[in-house]
Amino acid sequence: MSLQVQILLIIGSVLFFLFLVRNIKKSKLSIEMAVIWVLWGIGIIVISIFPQLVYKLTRMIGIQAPINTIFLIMIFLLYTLTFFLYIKISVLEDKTKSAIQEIALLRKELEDYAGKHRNSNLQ
Amino acid sequence: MGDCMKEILLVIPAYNEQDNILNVLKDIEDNLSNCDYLFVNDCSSDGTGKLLDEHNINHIDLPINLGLAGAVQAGYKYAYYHGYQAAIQFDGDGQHKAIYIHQMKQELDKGYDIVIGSRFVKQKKSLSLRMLGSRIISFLIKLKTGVTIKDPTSGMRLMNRKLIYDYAFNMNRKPEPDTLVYQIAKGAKIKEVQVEMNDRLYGSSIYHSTFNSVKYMINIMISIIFFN
Repeated sequence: MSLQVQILLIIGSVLFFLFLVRNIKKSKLSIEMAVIWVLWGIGIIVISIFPQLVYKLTRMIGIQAPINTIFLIMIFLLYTLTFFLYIKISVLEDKTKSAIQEIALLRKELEDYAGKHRNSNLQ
Repeated sequence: MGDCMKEILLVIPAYNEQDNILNVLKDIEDNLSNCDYLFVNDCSSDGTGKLLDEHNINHIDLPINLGLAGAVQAGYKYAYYHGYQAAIQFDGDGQHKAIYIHQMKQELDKGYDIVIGSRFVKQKKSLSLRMLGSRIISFLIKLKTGVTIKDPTSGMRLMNRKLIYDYAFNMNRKPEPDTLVYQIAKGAKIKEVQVEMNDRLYGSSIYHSTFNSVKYMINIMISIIFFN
């Protein structure tokens, strides 16, 4: 890995980590959801400081340039993360839908009840 | 005139259907005696909600628009909570005709779990692109389950109590062909009854653009092949 890439990685990963922590503190992201990002952030910092780890892995799996190993890891992580996001969104969507349906049903119960009550008062 | 059919709930999804509602209601009252119905106003932006209120029509109002599947599901939840023995989706745009429901109910009483109001039991499908889609879906269902469904896209489906719960509460139950495949796999017995459907009286359908049709076909095909 060239020195430029390494410096870029170190600066980028540290900035990213600070940004992450700030957002968690401002309660924009739940800690539960942030765990994966914290781990990821630490991982990137480690890699940028000790690129030897990547060199080793590169030789092990027979990739020519170490930067490609980084790309590979990154793309794989993004891929899985996106998939989990999709799951999360589906579940959320379903929960919202159920809540909306229940609200409509409850509102009807309430109106029917109020209507009956009104009628019995009139009689 | 049908018999007293208190045990069936007609679930009528209505999104911006102010011009059709009274016609649909008249159709139900003329052709079915004493039948319970529930309009599901899917957060319409026209006068649908007001009309339902003014005429004292049994209905619920979804506070946020959910689309057809979510609206129908809300109706099925109502059917479940109120202990109905069967529920049928009956479109609020005047496509479905109430006169056939009595016959469908008779088939349900013979022990079928789902009775589909089908356009193609006796009649042939035309050669339009739309019917090509219908043929492909029928073929896939046959391939996957061994059951022949001549009109898999028909939304007019009468279901008994056994199926209402799953339909009302599961994420992926929609008034679409893939749901049929799921239900068949779970052991549901299906019968089709020949019905005639009207064209929409007013308003427009959502499946009009080519893009939507293609998207619809891809969704349904993948769902049938891989997930059900």
